[in-house]
Amino acid sequence: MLFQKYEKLFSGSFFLLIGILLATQINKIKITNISMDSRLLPIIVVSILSVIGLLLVIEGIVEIIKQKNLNSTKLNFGQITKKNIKNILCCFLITVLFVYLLPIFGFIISGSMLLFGIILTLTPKGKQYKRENIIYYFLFLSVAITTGIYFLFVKIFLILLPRGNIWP
Amino acid sequence: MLEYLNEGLALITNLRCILLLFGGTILGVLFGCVPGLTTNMCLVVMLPLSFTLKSIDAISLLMGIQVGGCTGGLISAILINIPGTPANICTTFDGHPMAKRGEAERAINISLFYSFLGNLLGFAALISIAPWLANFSLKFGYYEFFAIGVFSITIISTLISDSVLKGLGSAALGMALALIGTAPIDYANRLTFGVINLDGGIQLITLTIGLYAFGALYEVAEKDLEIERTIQNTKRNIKGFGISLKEFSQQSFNMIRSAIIGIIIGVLPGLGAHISNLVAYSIAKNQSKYPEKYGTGIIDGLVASETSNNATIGGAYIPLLTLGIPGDGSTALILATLIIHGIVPGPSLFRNQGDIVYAIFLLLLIASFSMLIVIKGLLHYFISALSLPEHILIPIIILLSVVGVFGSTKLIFDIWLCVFIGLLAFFMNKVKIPLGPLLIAYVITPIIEINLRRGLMVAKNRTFWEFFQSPIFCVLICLSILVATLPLIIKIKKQKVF
Repeated sequence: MLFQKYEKLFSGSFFLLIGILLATQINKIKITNISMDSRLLPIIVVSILSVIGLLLVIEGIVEIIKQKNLNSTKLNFGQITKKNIKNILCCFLITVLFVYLLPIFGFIISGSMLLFGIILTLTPKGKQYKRENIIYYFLFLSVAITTGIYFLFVKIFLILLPRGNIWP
Repeated sequence: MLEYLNEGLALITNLRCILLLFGGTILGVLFGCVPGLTTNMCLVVMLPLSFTLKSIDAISLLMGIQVGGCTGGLISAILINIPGTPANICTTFDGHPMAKRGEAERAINISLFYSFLGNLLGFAALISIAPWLANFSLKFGYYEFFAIGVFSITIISTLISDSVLKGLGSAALGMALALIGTAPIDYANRLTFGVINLDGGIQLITLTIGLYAFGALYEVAEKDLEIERTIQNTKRNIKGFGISLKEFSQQSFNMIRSAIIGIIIGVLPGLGAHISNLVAYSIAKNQSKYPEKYGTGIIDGLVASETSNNATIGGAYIPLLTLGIPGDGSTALILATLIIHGIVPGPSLFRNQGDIVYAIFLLLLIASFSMLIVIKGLLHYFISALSLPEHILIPIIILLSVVGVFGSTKLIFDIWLCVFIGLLAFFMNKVKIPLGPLLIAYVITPIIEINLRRGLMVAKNRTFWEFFQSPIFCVLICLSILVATLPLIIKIKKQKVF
């Protein structure tokens, strides 16, 4: 897999990127008259992140060069299939939609949608799960669980959950 | 003392008190074992109810929740690799591999047993050395707390299995996340990128849920799920607690060391069980003869984590009762209850209301037994519930986690953060950057910063050299250097031998 083959390069680049992003914000921190002001620790952290990122990138490049020179056999880490990427993207989009709709429709409707969407996405496509019947079962399960959670936490434990703006 | 003990016993030996204790324990376990629903949330929910009860009844309810919650988190940590509370992070490292091997029940039983022992040892510390430990904790000032923070961050490096650089990078990332928001002392806005909602920083629960619950969602989405249950509990109906006498004697030193770490961390205000389990695990791994086995599913890791996090509870009551200073968040809520019921903790409490003090000691002891009975009794139901197919279990966990996050923070923005932190966790897992150092660095950074800056403000000439005037600081810094360099020295020696 791509990530695992070049993990040091990716992780080093990630730390460097975060370090650069944070460095752009340091000058926006207000300077105060107190010595050892609020910029002290951010500067230290950004420096550490940048140094570590750089070292990892260098290590990663050295590893790649060594592998090319030795003509080492390809390590079989397995492949990300299109289906896996599709599942990850689906789950991400469903959660984003859930959070977006939560203040609009409230917990019960958006929560049911979240449960239903993710269960459908993650369900294996085996013979045990006949698609026609299972959708209604999952829909019922999603609504029942979400409603149960809502009433348990709102009515019994008195924890506030979003009700939705569309309801009067 | 005996007189107070008798009076304390008389206060708690009634059916209502015991039932409230057991009820609180059940609630605490349920809240603790569901990721996102923390012990503190359960305490907050039950606090208004406790005001209507008698003082000792209120204390027994809340104490049951506290003890149950701390231990309940181990169930989800072991079964689904998501810590129920931050105090159970290290339990996932060895507990879940054991569960994947078919030893879920054994892992839970062992963790439960050592949680119980941790509670007992915390109780023993509470009744025997409470005043002395409280006086010792008064000697800790800015320099000492800064040194403890540095020591804890240094120990993180021992959690790293394959790359020191990645572990330190993860810790630095955790520090960066902790710096987002309003700075202490001068309240300057930092690293918020102009986003107003980040002015309050990122909450611990948001970070934990994002990293572990939402991260798990993307991990599961990537897998080709099997139809069978994911946790094959092949070893059922374990006799006793799944540990032999030989194993128990082998783990004795580990248990006592972890308990001492938990008690000391509990005594120090502002720290808590979420730090003690990480420190105890790191030290256990560092001092072990087979550190490479940690993280593969050995009981040593479970012993260190669970003994220390439960011993912290007893430790946290020491400064609470003797000085009126809460040791951690949950004891802060119990302090609120005590004050409302007219019980003012402090040096005079032992003199004027000694019966209440000993009643609290005895309640902690009984709560340990109630926690043992509740979890042992309901264990099979927990395993059945959390052994549901992942495609059904994970979405339910996500929904409950959202309830937990929104219930704590009351902000939709934090749920947005969870979604994106989950993606971050997924990427970090792919490139093998460990998550543990990130979390501990996040927790410790405020302690380091506040104490460093205040220490420098009060130091003569505002120089760092003043810190070295404190013997405790010097000892802790030397330990930090030793911990940081010892693995390297051992590695060089091994290379010379070969």
